[in-house]
Amino acid sequence: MQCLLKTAVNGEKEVIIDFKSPLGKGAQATVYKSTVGGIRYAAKIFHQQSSFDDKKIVAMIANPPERLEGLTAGILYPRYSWPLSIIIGSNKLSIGYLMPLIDQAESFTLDHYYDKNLGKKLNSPDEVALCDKFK
Amino acid sequence: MRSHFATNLSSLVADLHSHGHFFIDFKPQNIRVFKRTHAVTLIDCDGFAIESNAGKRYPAELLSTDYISPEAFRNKSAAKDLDINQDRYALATIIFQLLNGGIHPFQGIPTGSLNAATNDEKAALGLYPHGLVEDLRIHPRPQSVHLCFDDVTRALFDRAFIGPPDARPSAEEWAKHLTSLLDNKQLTRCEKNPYDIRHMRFLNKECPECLFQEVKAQRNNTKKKKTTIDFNKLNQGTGSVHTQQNSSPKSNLLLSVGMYLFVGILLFVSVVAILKETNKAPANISTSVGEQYKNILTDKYLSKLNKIEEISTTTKSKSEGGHIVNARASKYYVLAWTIIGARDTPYYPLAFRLNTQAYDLGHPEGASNLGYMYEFGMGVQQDFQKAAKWYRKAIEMGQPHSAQAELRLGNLIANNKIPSNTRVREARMYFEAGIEVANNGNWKDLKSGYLKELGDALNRLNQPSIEAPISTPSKQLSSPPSSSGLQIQDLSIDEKASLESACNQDKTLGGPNAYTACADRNLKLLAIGPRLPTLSTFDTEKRANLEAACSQEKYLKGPAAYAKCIRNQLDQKRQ
Repeated sequence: MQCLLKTAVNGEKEVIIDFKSPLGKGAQATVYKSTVGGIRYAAKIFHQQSSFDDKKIVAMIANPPERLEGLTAGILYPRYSWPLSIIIGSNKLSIGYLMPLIDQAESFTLDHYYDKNLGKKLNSPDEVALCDKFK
Repeated sequence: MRSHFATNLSSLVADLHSHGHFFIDFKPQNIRVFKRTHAVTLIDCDGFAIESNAGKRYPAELLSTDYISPEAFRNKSAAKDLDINQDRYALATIIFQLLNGGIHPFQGIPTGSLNAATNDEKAALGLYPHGLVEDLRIHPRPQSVHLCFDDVTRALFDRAFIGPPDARPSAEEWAKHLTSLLDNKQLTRCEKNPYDIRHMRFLNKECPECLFQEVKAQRNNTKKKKTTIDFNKLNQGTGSVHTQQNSSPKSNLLLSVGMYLFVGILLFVSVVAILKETNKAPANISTSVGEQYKNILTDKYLSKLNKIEEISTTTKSKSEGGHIVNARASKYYVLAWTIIGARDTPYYPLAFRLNTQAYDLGHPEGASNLGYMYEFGMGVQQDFQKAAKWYRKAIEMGQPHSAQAELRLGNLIANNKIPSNTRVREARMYFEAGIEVANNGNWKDLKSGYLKELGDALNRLNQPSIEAPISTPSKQLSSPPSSSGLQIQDLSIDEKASLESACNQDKTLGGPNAYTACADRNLKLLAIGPRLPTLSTFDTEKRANLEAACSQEKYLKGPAAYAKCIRNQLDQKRQ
């Protein structure tokens, strides 16, 4: 199921959230794939409005690090999963926020690059080799 | 490679700190690394301690074991009470783990009985086994390679782990130090294993991987000796008074028979497996290509191939564009390129095989050529996706050979041969990266050729017919009206790149109007300030230094700030 919502910051833009495929679920919120103007993002939607500190998120949006994105090997990557916009629900209350989509299949947590067991999950032979020394 | 991760991570944290934010729940699980390019991304940012523009603080809520600063652990502080010193401790811990194969800085072997089981407890007691001055209370683990770190790095770790909290190196200090190590080539390949990426060492220090392998071999030998002794004792039946006191002769005999049977089965299985492998189609890098193709080769390629295969696959190396590559791989791809260039169709399968061999031996040109063969259907079915895949592999393998791959991949994207949401932007990035790679390369002929082709490609990209994004027919995105009189088409390539990057957020989130406003603002600033000098007139090294010093201005602050920064840099150099 898809849902139409609007963002509060950066104007009234439509965000389409794909509730069918959650990317991750926590005690307080669930992260879903979403799109704004055809570009893919991640939307963190809180289970209860009371557990969402929207003032903190607004402060983050207003004061981001200098380099939210960076070029590596000619490809643009997000450097932080930094909030980009507040998401307002149909009840006119803020229910979560929009952030860059981090491709889980293409990235691994840092410990994969030095932990021998986790390193086995890396496909690249070079990266596996890096973890080989811990055998 | 891990030094690059550490450098990138330090830069990201330094950027965060410069805005008054703290990570606090700083742990490897909150840092993601992209497997293809090794780009680093910090996640779970809403858990950071945040400072608003008005100075109001929004605290963090979580902390993770192994990364709690000693003073926080001793004082049982909550996450909300912690500050930049917590981040500095955790950053140093992660850098240490990256450089030391995952070993925690406080992981060691206590020499006496200590009331500290966890790493956090040891940290709270200052039991640091890897310091420049030995701590007699705790020894490092045998696997630790901390002695292979350069002395400045070790001194920074000492400050982070046993110095007072406010003396810990800042993220910026780490970033500068690690960058200087990489820039000044303080990390080098191990002479014994120059092609193995694990064997990188600090200048004038022992190779950590060799050291580790030595320790591992010693441990294995010890284990082997133990096994041999036990086995001999078993064979001696009741002969050994030390080990056989509790065993009956009958049980020893049964055990011996069982062991021999087990070893026999293992040997049989191994021989069968080896025979099977031998019958398989040869695929490893030591296989001779000449042997496989001798039936179909004419003299023109056979003699060349025979000469190439006299070159060792492991010991011979040569310099190409200032980079050391495998000599045989280099010859393989050159021969493949000869076949491709001559359009010698019957030998395309051979060219494909040669390129694969070159790639297997670690030469990026092999991957790039495979992409080319897929792109143009040479000996294989034309497949743009596969072509893009091989070009990306070549780019990942690095400079200076990736210029062709950057050019071809950029073209595939620009010409809509492979899908892309941000076609123009992505293609431009590849072209610009290609120009950077070509500029950094030492090879004269190829450099000028690629630079021209890449420059032409960029110019074509900037033509209005290509510039308009596929999904957005409006030309406003690329060419907003400017109230300053200056137009986007008046800008140089570098100025345009800077403007596009600086307004990228506005374009993707705010839409065409926000982008137009951003572009207009930048054009106004540029119209009243100094313009960017032509960087292509500088030599490679000078240009690289200038670009590095002003990269933030270029990609984030826009062309006016970028031009100002470059001019400041030039003024400083003149003084």
